[in-house]
Parts: sequence; C-alpha cells; structure tokens
Amino acid sequence: MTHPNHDELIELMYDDGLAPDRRAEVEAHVAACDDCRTQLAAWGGVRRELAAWELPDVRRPIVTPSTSRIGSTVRWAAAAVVLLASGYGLARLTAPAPVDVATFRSNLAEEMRAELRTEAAAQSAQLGMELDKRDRAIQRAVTSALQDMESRNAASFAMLRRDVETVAIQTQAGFEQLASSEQPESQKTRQQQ
Amino acid sequence: MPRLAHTTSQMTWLPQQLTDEEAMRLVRVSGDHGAFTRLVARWEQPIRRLCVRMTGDQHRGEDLAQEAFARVFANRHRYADGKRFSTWLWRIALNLCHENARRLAVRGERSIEFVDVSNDASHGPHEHAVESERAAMVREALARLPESHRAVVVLREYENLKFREIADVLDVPEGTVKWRMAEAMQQLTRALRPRLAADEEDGAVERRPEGPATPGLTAKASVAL
Repeated sequence: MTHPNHDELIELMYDDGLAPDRRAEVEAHVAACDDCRTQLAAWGGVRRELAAWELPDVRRPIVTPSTSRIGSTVRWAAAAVVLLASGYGLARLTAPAPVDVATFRSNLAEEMRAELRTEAAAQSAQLGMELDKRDRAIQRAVTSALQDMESRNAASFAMLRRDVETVAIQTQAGFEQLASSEQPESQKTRQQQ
Repeated sequence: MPRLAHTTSQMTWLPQQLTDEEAMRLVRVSGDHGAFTRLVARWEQPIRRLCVRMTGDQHRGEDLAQEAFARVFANRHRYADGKRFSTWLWRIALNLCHENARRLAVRGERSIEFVDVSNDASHGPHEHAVESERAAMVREALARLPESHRAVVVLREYENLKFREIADVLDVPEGTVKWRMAEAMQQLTRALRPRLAADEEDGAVERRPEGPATPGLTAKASVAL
C-alpha cells in the first residue's frame, strides 16, 4: 500500500479526482495511519473555520459607491427600464396571466417618484434638477416600454416587480449605455416550433 | 428544439429554459438585453462572493462584481461560442481582482478593512460577535495566501467547483491546482491554529462514521504540524 501524498489526501477530502480503486486504497491506508488521519483532521478543522465566513445573498440591487453622484435610485429605475424593455419577466412564465397594467404603471411610477424625491431632497439643488430631468427621461422610457408590453399581452406584474428588485446593477457608464441605447431597426420576425 | 418565438430590435422573447451558453450567444450576436439580464441575475451572487472573498473587502468586491458583468457585455464579441460561459465569467472576475490587487500594491496599500461582516442575526449579541471575529480571522488568513492559492481555495471551498473546472478557469494543469490547494491548507492550518485549538477544547470535534472525505475525527490531543 502506497503512502498517499498531499495531493491525494486533498482529492480524498473533497472526493474530487481520485479513481475509485485508488480511493479505496487511500481510504484503507488512512484508516490505519495515524499521521494521515491527523493531517486530515487538521484540514477538516480548517474547512470548518472557512465555513464560518458566510456571505449571505444581497437582495437589493448592487449599488456603486460614491463615485457616482446620482446614486442607487436611478440605477434601480434604469434596471426597471432594461427589464421591461427586454421582456425579461414575461418569458419566465408558463401561463401568462392578464395584468392590470394601469395599476402596475401607477404603482411603479409612484414608487419611483417617491424614491427620487427622497434622493433629491438629500442632494444639492442642482443635483435635484438633474434628477428631475432624469426622472422624466426614465418615466418616458418606462411608459413606452409598458405600452409595448400592453401590445404583447403582458404578464404577471408581481413576478416582474420581483425581477426588477433583484437584478444586479452595472457600473454607471455601462448602465447609461444600456438604458439609453437606441432602438435598432426591427428584425424579421422568427417563429419556430 | 423549441427556440425563440419572436425577435425584434434588441428584445428577444426567451423560452423559459435558457442555458448560460445560449443566453450568452444571444448577447454576443445581438446584444440582447433580456438574455444578458438573465445571466446577471443568475450569476451575480456567486461572482459577488468571489470578489468579496478575493479582495477581503465588501464594497470593493461588489464594485468588482459589477465591473465583471459590464466587462462581459463590453467583451461579448470575444465570447467563444459553445465554450462554457461560467469558466469565462469566473476568469473575468478573477482578472479584475488581480488588477485590483496590483493597483493596491503599486499604491502601497492593502485593504484589510471590512465593513460589514454580517451573519445570522437570530443569534444573541454575544454569539454574533464571536462569529464576526471568527470570520475576520478567516478573512485575514485568506488574505495572507498568495493570490493564486486563494483563488483555488475560494473556488473549491466556497463555490464548490471541481478541481478540473478550477484548472480550466485558471488555465493551469489540474495537478497544479491540487498542489496549490494542499499548500494553502497547510498555510491556513498554521494561520488558524488558535481557532483549531479552541475548536478542540470546545468539543467541536465530532466523531463521524468511517467513509469518504473528511476528517475522520478521532481527534488526537495535539495536532503536530
């Protein structure tokens, strides 16, 4: 029976990479070898400690720090535009349900307005003016996206809201690119079974 | 095979099940926002975790994670059609962490500050404090590993990648990955010695039935290393 090297002990510990017959040999060796068992015990302790550093999921959109003056709300709103425009939420559903788009629109717009008001109050007057402009631009974009949704027989609002809240936000530059990108000319409709 | 029902401008009506590779292909071919958003939603947590653990910095890690996805979109033309998306994504994120480390090294600073070490809030205040210290020790121990070793540990231990996958991500032989892992474990054993001793005293050492993998922990009184 060959004494296993550290690589093989690692493979054993993670059950990752040992051929079945070699694994049986290594296990048998370890059962009978104090040094190997001690080594694995130490590493097992390390793994336990490593596991103590947990990172729970971040539920809200990731926010960039103070490099951007505008802040998280606009990103959230821009994320909403991207999601709505892309029909992301719609595609997830097996059985699209009718949605009260008017309610959705007024709910969404109201919440956005509230957040933007809060944000504006915390910033300078000039920044507040910028936010108003941005607000209008975003509302226009969301409205047009919603109109588009209506024409496609839009689906569940609750799921879409949840999707909007969990999407990750890009860096400022990347997001402005996405949120403001022009609509390219439409392509041919493709339908496959 | 059922595919896209309708494509117009940059919107594509996506079927419910879309693999990473299919989604990335859409992103590459037409900059599809929906497909891209789906990839982000699917991978944001793992990539964020990787960047936070590699940098040891909650905020910097989140920034880098965002940057990783921005880079995916910006470099979508470089995505090799058919290749595994996650391998490419992990690599982009690790490159960003590497660039970040180099920037900090050049500036002569290393961030060991960690703002938000939050664990389960249902523990009592004392237990919560103990968990934070424990996590901080782990974070510092990982920070002292060479970057190449830390990457292996984070991917294997926290993200559960197989050694073969890690080899693909890092573009090194599988044997190199395992060797780094073994080296890292030795270094971490030394760095975490006080914790390991405390665990033994607390009786945290369990007896497990004989079997594969871990620590057949009929513990010895001292761990000679």
